[in-house]
Amino acid sequence: MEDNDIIQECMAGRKQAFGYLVRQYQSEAIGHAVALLGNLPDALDVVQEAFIAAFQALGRFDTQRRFYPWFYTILRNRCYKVLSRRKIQSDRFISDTQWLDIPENVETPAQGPVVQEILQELSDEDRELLTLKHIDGRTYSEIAILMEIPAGTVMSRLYHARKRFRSLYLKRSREDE
Amino acid sequence: MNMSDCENIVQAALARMDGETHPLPDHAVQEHLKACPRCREEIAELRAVLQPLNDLQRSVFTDDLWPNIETALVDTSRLKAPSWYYTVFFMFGLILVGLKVLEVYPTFLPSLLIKLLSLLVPILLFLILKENPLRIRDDLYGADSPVTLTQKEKCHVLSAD
Repeated sequence: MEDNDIIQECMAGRKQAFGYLVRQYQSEAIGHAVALLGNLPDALDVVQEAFIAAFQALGRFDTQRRFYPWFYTILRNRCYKVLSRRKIQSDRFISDTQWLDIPENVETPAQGPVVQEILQELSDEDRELLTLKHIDGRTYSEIAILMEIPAGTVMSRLYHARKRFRSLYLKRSREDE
Repeated sequence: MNMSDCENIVQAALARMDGETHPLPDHAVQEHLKACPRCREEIAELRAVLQPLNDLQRSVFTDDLWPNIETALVDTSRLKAPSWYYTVFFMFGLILVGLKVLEVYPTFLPSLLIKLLSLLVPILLFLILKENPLRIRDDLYGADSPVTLTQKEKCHVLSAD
C-alpha cells in the first residue's frame, strides 16, 4: 500500500491505517532521533510524540510530497527542542546508546566506537549532516529537504562539518598513538 | 590563489566525489588542483578521514511504538469536542455580535424586536442541541467524580473525607 493511500485512509477516519506508516518508518525515525539525542529512551519518547503530532496534522499534509521527509521535519524540531532544554540544564551531550553498527566486511572495525564518540563531540547540526550524508547516503537535495535549507547551504555546511570531524579525528589519532 | 579560491575548489572536488554538481566547471577545478598542493593534500586527507564514517551503518531498533501511539490517539480523540460544536458556537458568536450592532443602531429595527431576538437565540440553541447547553458534561469527568454522583452519593463521599 502506498503512503498516500494510507494517509487517505487515515483522513477518512480509519486510524488503524496509520499503524502501517508507524511500523514502516519507526525504525528509521528512532535511528535518526538516537543520532541526534544520544539516548534511546529520549528518542523513543520524541518519536512517539512526533508520530502523534503528525497524525493530528495529516489534514494539512500535501499528498504531492513524500511522507517521511515531512514527518522528519516534525521529528527534527522536537529533537532540537529536547536538545535546547538539555543545554539549559547542562552543556554536555549525553549519549549512552550505541547507534552505529560496523558491518562484518569492514577493514578497521575498531574505528566504529571511535567515530561515534567523535560524532558526539560535534555540534548537533554537524552530527546530523554527517550522519545523513555518510551513514544514510542521502543526496544534497534530499538533505536540503529534510533540514529545510538550500542545497548550496548543504554543500557549504557539509564541508565545514567534515573539516571539524577531521580535526577531532586527527586529534584523537594522535592521542591514541 | 587565495584561501577563498582553495575553499571553493575543495568544496567542488568533494561535491564531485559525492556525485553532485557544483557551479565551478570541472576543468577549472582540475587546473587549480594541478597547481595547488595544499588543496590536493586537504582533499586526500578528508577522503581518508571520512572513509571510516562511510563504512558504518545505523543500528536497527526493533521497538514497536504503534500500541502506545494508538492508545495516545484514542485518548486525545475522546477529549476533543465534535467539530460541529465549534460551528454552533461560532454562529452563536456571530448572532451576538449582530444583535449588539442592532442595539447600537436602533433605527435599523424597532428595539422590541431586538429584545425578542435576544430571547429567541437561547431557545434556538436549545432546539439545535436538544439538550440544556448549560448542563455539565458527565463524560468529561471520571465515573467517581463528585460531579457525576447522585446527591446521596455526594453526601457519602463528602462525609467520608
